[in-house]
Amino acid sequence: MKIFLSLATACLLLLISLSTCTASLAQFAGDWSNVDTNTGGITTLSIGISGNSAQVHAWGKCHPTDCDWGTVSAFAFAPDVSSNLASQAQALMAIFDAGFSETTLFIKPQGNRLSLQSYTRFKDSSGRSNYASSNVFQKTSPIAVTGMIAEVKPLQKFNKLEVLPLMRTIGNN
Amino acid sequence: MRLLYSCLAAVLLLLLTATGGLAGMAQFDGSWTNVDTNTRGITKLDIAVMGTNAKVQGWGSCHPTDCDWGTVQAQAFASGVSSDILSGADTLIAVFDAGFSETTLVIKPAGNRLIVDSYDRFKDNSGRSNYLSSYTFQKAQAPGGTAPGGATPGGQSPGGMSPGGVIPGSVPALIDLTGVWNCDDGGKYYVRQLGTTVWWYGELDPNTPNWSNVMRGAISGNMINADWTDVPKGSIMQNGNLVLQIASNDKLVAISKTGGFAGSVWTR
Repeated sequence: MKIFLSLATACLLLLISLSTCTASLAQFAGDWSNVDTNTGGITTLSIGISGNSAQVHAWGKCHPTDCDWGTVSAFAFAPDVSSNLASQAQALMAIFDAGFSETTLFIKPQGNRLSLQSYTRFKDSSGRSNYASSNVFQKTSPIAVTGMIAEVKPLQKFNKLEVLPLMRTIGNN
Repeated sequence: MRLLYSCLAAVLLLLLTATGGLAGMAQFDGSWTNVDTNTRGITKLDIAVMGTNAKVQGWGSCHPTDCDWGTVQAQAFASGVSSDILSGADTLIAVFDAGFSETTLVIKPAGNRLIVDSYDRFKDNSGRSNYLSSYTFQKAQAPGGTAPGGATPGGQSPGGMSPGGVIPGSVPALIDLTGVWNCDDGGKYYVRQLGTTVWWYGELDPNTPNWSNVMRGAISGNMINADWTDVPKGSIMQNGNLVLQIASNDKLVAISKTGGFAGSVWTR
């Protein structure tokens, strides 16, 4: 039995790893956060996919709240000129133009994460050096449905004549 | 003991200077060839560095001579905004615009070699997919028995072409399409290639074909841009354009079609 369970687990893990390795545009979709929470660069990416198109929304580190870089259309790249982009895209390129500078992002899947190469060049003759940085992003955890939210539903069952639970609590005290 | 440490430190320094070699902009400078001599992509890069400026000239695989993509100004990147580009550059980005396509090269040193990621995107609405290729380049051998100016692919001077693999007047090496081909539309195609021009006559049936057509196309890199028209051996009368990819010497794949052309894959 133990052997059977071990084999089943191994097969499951293999299937999961294979599925996560499959390249496609869909694997870029979602909200992603920099695994380096102390980054001084890009903190969050939100990538939307529609057919063969991708939109990248980025936020950079700022205080007190992160700076919204806005959303740009990204170019998707497949392994070959005749590849199907939707099912075989292996990289995205997104260019953010801030006027004084331009940042080009090259985004590639890395297992369940995204590898990001960022190249910022200055166009304002300020003497600052163009710079590159590398970051890894992980899927942002979806908002957990907690007991508090689950408890909201029963409220819909109360009719106007019933006392709300909060008032009951006060009354009981 | 001190002597031993001093000797070790000296050896270490010597090794570092010997293997580390150049850093910053200087490490990109020179003539570089693709380690894959059979590549159908970029065959050669010439990178000229002057201070913090770099110019990149690229060549793509073409026949009989490689296609010269021309020279572009590259952008150099270091690790930080206050880094010294001259001594700290670790990436070059060069963009080649061929009009119908744009190729962005991301060039990084890896030891004594260069790793080049090439992002090709099409701007001509041809339906071709943007694609990413990765190459490794090594320093070309110094001139001596080869053409002046360093190693040139195939011992020949570069031609005068452009990026994207779709260059008028260029044919990938070892491509000869002349022959009889079968297509997934059920037809038989009689193909003749003369240099960069290709013709065919295709028909569904040699006696009473439902359709029969002729085509004339120009080979550009690994693509054929063609016009086709039905001819009145058959009864259908249509015409249009075709963009075919030369997948191999024995396989053609339609990338885009107009005029109601049915076939998509040709083999022989």
